Amino acid sequence: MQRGRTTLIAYLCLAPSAILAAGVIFYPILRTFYAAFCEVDRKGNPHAFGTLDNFRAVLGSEVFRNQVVPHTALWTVAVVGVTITLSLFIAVALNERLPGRRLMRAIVMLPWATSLVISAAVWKWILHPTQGPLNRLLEGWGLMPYGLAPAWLARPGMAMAAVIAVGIWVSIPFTSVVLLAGLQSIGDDVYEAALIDGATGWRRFRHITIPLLRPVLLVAVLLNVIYVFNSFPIIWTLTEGGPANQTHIIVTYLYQTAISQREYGQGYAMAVLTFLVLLAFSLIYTRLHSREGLQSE
Amino acid sequence: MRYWPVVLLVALFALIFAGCPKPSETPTTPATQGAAPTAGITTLKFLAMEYDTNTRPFMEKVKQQFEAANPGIKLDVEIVDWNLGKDKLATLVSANNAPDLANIATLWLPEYVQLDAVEPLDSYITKDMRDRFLPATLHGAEYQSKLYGLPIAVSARALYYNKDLLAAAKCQPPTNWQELVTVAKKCTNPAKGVYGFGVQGSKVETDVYWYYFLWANKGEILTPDGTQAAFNSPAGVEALQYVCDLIDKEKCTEPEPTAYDREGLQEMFKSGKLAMTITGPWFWKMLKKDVPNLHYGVAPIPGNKQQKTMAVTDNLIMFKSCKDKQAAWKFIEFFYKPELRQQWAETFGMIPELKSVAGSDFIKKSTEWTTFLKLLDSGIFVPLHPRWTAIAKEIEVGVQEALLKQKSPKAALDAAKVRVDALLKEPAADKPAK
Repeated sequence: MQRGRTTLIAYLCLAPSAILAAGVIFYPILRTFYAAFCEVDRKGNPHAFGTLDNFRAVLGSEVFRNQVVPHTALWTVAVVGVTITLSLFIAVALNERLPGRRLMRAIVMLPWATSLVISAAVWKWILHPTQGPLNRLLEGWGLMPYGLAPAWLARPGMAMAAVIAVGIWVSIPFTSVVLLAGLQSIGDDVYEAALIDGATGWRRFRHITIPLLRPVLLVAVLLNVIYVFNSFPIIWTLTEGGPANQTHIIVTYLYQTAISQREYGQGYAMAVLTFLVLLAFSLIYTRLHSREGLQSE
Repeated sequence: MRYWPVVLLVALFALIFAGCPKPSETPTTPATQGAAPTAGITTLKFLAMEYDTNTRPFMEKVKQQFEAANPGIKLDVEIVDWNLGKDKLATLVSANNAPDLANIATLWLPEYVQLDAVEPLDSYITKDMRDRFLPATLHGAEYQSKLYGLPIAVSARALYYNKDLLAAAKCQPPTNWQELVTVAKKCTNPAKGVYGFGVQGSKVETDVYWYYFLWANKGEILTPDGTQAAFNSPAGVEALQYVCDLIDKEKCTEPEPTAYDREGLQEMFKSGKLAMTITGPWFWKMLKKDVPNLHYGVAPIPGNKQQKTMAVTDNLIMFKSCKDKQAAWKFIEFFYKPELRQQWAETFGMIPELKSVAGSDFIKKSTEWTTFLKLLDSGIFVPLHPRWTAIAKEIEVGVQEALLKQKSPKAALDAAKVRVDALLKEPAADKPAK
């Protein structure tokens, strides 16, 4: 009886959050799936169920296939890849007993404390061709001829590079903190044993740190891929997907198509596609790595 | 006693839930949200797009005067920036939570009419009131033979030039394309960061900046029946090639136009780094306020085969979902009193839409206003079509591709034509909105 009452209390406590989650998360997802297969009117309301037209429109769009999808892949791989690499080294550095370590940790956390929109807005100003500090600095150091410093956000290739750089900048704090937490859970005795066996710094890193960090790395990569794939504020604030669709990723293209141009049907279809891609990635990735993890134990 | 934490938690969440409106509930009149409704008081919600920093104080004044003259009506004005306002209005209308009144770009009108969201004003407006308006300004408000709004901001575009920079280069303001090249080149001095002519390549109205040249070359955006794109004609390709040459061959524009939106060019002009740029009547008010020492001049946009400008209106519209349309109409009548329209024109620098205001001494004495009123006569309105937002975006992409040298002007315009033609066909396949 005691057990039953405890269980009941547990369910009662969980109920409000569960209802909230169901209403705010699951209901919209289910409705989106439903609407993606409907004819959707200009206000976004789904009508007749049972059509693949929205998907046909999305996948048939040349801009979507040849620009948006490759950009999304490039954006995700570049931002996550570089973020993980840099964050790993930052986490290792922050793990060392160096003076000013607390201050450094606080500074690394700062980009995370500001909203993405504000960070992106500030970077937009920094990258301004004539009035931004970056070009002024480069000219002052003699790295750029005066008056010819590029407009970072206006040239096709450069715009992508610039938004990727800002994406990396905002992703580093979270990833560093996660990896640092993982590093700190590795006991000193493992390293001491390795030292006694004569392992150099690099070998210690490769054969002790990385394998023991694997579960944390798994989580970091997974979360980063999901956040970055769907990251709207940075690209939208910096370039709105331009110039000429050169920096559009799926989520920004979705916003432009569905909200600005009232093609809600295509928006639903894109949302479903994104969901399926990320779901597939999450399942495959976790399956791959947990199996590896078990084998190496 | 054991249960009290549970009870507390559940009570807390119940309170939170009670405060949230359920998605299926359509909100009643705005008066029921927030302040307690007093019997007999109507609240009108006005979503006002912001023209400049004067918008807020001006609307405050209007609100006070209107509420004093109409004790039973409260005016609730929400001011948003244009870019955000467009999306916000779109979302509100989709959520069946439209405001009662809003000022919108005429280009958006067909879209909202198609959604059956706009209240036609034919049954409210008297013939006398209608006659008060300059006929050209009603152009955008009349759509599919109904009057869907009243013009609130009328503009024609002109060439602004920096008198000092032109005088230093011993030039007169250009009147045609050849002169534009010569003057712009003479005024360009990259070492000082000064450039001759500003070309816009980013954000809203990038396509419009090219229309100035398209129309000057006797090109058209669409065929006369409006069913196909006509901008990739030889005249159009030539016009786009001219703009690209200004940037690459003649090097008399700011470098990297795709980095500059309209505000960017205006800021550059204000800082004295740009000798010429094309923009609208609000700009001279900004110049007088922000940089009173800058000597500017206003001239017609240089033509080639003809001299044309773009005429644009914004409209004040009433939404069908408005609960008290009589009150909303009272506000519209109040808003269009000549004194108020005169103050509006004086504050924002827009071209007046009422005949009486246009003929007033204040307007007639001002060179800027007289120039703009005259330009309105040679103004072309951009075509009205429900999918215009998407169409403009496709043309913008085409223009940007040519500016970035990713495609030749002909290739870029041909590609844009394909996309625009597809969009023009769409209304037939559209589902009616519920």
